[in-house]
Amino acid sequence: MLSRVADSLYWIGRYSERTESNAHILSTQLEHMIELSTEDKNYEIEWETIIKICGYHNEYSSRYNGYDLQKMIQYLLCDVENYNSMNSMVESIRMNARNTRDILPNELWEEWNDLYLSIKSKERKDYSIIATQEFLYSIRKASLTASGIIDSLMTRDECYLFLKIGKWLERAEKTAIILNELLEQEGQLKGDFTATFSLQLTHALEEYTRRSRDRSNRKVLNFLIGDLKTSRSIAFSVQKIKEAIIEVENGKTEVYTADMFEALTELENSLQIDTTLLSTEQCRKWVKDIREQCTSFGPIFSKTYYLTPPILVP
Amino acid sequence: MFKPYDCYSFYDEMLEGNKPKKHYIPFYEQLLKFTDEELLTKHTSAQSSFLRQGITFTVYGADGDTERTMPFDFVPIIIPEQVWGNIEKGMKQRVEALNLFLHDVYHDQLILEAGVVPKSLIENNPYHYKEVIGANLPLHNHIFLAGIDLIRDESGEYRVLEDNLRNPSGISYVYQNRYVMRKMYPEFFRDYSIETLEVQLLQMQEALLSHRPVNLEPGKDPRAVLLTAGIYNSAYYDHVFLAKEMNIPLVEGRDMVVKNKKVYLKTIRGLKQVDIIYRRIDDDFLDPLTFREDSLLGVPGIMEAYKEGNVAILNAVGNGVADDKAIYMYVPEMIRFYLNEEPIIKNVDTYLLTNEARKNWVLDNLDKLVIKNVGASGGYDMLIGPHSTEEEREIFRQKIEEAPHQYIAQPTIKLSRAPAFQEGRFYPCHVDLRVFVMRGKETHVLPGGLSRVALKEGSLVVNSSQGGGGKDTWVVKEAKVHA
Repeated sequence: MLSRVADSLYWIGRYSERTESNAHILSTQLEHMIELSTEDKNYEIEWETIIKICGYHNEYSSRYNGYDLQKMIQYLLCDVENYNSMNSMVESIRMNARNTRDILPNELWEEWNDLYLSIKSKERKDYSIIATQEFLYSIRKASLTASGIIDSLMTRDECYLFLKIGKWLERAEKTAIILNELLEQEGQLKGDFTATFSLQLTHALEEYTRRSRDRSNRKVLNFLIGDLKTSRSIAFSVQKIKEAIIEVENGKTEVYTADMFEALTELENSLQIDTTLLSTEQCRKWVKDIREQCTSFGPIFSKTYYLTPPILVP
Repeated sequence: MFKPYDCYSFYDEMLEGNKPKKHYIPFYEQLLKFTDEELLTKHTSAQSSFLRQGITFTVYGADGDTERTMPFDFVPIIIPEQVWGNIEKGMKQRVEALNLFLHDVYHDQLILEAGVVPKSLIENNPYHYKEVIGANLPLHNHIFLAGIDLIRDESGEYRVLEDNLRNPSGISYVYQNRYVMRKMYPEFFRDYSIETLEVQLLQMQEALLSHRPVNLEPGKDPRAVLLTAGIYNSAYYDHVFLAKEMNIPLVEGRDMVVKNKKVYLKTIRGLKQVDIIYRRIDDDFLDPLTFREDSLLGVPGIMEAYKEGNVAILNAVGNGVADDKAIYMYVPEMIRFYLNEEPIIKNVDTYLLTNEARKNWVLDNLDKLVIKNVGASGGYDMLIGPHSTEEEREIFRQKIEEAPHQYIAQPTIKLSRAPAFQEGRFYPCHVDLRVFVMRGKETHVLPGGLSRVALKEGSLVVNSSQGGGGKDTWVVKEAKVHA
């Protein structure tokens, strides 16, 4: 497989997952904030956290003032200067899909192209909660359909594996970011709210409730980091990445993959710590380290396979 | 509803007087069964199908770039089998002669020595590349894919308007037009038996892979790629389609590198050697070391690998010398010279302007003639006399005086017409036909080809960059006519 193609597939995997998870997070927060007065001090803390999870807080505060809902929706959904906004990501996915059209199932291209065309065709003026929720719903539906198309129609070859590696790395990193940001705010948010909120944002609340009655912070943290049965945990994602890479390498370890395997093993080991022995401060540092390890794995992976980001000459 | 219109002195593909021709009768009868609303609904969904598939070209404009689809028109061009058989023979003959000409130009130049084609036309030709003189090409084949543009004159006779021997595009449209036609207008197919397009892409793949570079080990499977300029190129969908159908990777210049006069692909497992490159970028952009220094689309050093016989490049480098509008005039002579045959499909009469008397005659008759720049394509730098204003003619008068060798003149041909249905109504539009010829060990002609239609009423320009559209083209074995 061409390095350029591998790079595009990897980013399609990452951006698709990011689109889906950001849409879910925003949708959750929009629903949640209805019960919160804008005067409430938690309103600002929560939204600040959401912006940190789904975008860049520094970028936001340099161009927007305060936490007016319209502005935040504008920034997170349609601001093309924010390359993590919904519109920017859909455009990036479509561009990368176009770049690799000769190897993607046609239905996958059509799904993303349809979404792109529907976003392009209507200019958003309505920033009401209902209209925004509908928009987020359509984005999530398209992302989930795209995942289904990938699983039902793609050959299980390197192309498929690179898409998947992008997806799982994005999910691991996102869960780590959510946990890290929420732990940073832990003292300020109400009582046991952090645990529930982290389950909501990672889309694991329903599953967790079915499997456990103990909603203490430590239990939930262990679940979202180390549980191997939930597809929302970091450990699960890391395991998937490892399986995929081993398949790409046909079970062999070559010299050029040594760094990558080492980083992966280090990350795996970090996930296995018993949190009952950690102080709150140690716990925070632990999660922060995991987040950093997830973030730095991407470049190591790219370097191993000579992935070069596309240079576009219009 | 469709109503026959007055054909005047034009040749009409479908009508004779105010009745349909025999091979159009089943289509015509079916057409009368549809209401305008039904046709409009079908038209809209056909058009959006192109958009969904992303079969678009980019139009650069002041307020941002927009992606546009080529308009599709559902009234097909139907060609009876016997008529097609003759076109097919004519195309094989013509492209064979053109290939012999290219080989000759870059080797012994017998045709120039014999004085059949003037030497000056080759020597002054910007597409005559000294860099490839004497190159030893696989199968001695310069033309892997040709697109020959045909028109019909007022008597219905097919004539060649233009040869495209560099990077003819449009095959994907032939397939998409058929796909959309089958999907949205299945009713029309009922009483026809049509030449299918199912096997030709495999033949094309076979033809491609038969161009084994001289230094490729016998018995080794060649690795072939399609070289594109990337997603912003207006023919990008054509590239995607062909790469997918021929099962070869779609690559860009930056995906390749030349080492020791061999071309390699940059893959996730390091470098892999490439043997055959079906390139869809122009000669000028292929190699910044040999041609345009500023090219970011090509691969530095690729020409060295080509001359060394380590890689095949299709179509061959330097084909432009055979498809400009001045050389066009000599193609019938080439057929006689190399094949000792009479041309099966004739040219349109063409006048060079280098002769003083001829030039003056042309300048006196600008309002009746078509003037074309010999090097231009896509319908640019062209004057259609009868449709022109005094000012436009004055501009061309000056252009011709300044550079008479740069222009040719042709009589304004009354291109044939066919009905089109656009924006809810029927009207007659001028059409032409691009026929695709694929050459490898064997030569194949794609049945039918791409019918292009000038959708602006009265316009003679069919190019998609200037408001042209496409139609499905059927070569019919037989049409069942109900008693």
